[in-house]
Amino acid sequence: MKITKTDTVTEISEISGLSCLEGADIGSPALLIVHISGTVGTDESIRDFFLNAPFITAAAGSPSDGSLSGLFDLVITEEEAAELPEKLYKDKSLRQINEINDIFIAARKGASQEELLTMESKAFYRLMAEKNGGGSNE
Amino acid sequence: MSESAGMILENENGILILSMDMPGNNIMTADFFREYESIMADIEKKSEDSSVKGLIIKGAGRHFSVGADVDALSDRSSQEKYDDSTGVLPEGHIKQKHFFTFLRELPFPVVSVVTGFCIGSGSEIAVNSHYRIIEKNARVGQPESTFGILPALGGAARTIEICGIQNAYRLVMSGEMIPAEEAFEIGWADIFAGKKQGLPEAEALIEYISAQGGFDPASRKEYLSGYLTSKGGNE
Repeated sequence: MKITKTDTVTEISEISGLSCLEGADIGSPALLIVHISGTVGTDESIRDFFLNAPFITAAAGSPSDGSLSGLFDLVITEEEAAELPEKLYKDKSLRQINEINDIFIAARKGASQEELLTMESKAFYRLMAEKNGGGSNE
Repeated sequence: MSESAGMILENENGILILSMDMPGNNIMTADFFREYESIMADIEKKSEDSSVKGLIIKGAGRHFSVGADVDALSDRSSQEKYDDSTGVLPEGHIKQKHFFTFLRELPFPVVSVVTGFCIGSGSEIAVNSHYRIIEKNARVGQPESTFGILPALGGAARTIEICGIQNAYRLVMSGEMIPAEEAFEIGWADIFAGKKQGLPEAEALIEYISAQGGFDPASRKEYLSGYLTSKGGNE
């Protein structure tokens, strides 16, 4: 298994099974990209890992098992994997990325529309306070 | 200097048609929001009238809306009080957001006819509607993230609901603009229409739903499917 990390993205390749991810040194990325080619082993326990991951997950490549795709938040091509982080996170602070990520992670975990609507409002005011000089809006 | 007629609300055979004709291609300044909230309060009252079959929201000119004036938004929010330790949102925001999200709770179908640019908070009017009909050459996007913030009038929550996590994440995080064809392909828009065909299509959809004997928001996908089948599919 090969792991490459930046401030926002952890990329994992050369894995034989998704269960390897559970003990891997992933760090605290905004986005985890797992490069998959051909057959990759999986088991039920890994579903919890993907459901509760505190980051966005992306499968890059062409998983031969279609059900694997359903585990990930994003399914992208290898070409997209090279460009996506720049496209998504260019000129954004980690704080902003994490605020937006939190809403999508909550949605993945089954948060209701009402909960998501409230989350986006609170995140807006936190980010606007930062934009207006770093203080709170109080 | 161009003249703007403001927010024009008409009733045509039981269908309310809101034409937004504010300055700067409906740029969402403080004036825009004041007029918008006022007309939406009027629509909320009219929703008690059982003869209303539906509501269509559109831009009066070429564009649906070019979105919020970010400087004005920044100015306004800096004057609002929000204490994250209590989580109590400013009253102004709650009121403003209500007039976006309440569209989903109206007892009749709300259809946004999207033409030209439909950006930022303008796009949030559309995603809070039950249906979006997009005309060829329109472009939609949620560019708030490129200004250091995020969409907060339903733009994140509703886009997730409409397009799924994968498509919504790209739209909200990247802030990119997408063409009408792609908006339809990813499910942001329900119907793709030719130029100037959005309004008649919206009227036909509302008439179809009305003929079903009442509107249940939970069944909006079924109404759409029935409508598309009745007319032989989308173009």
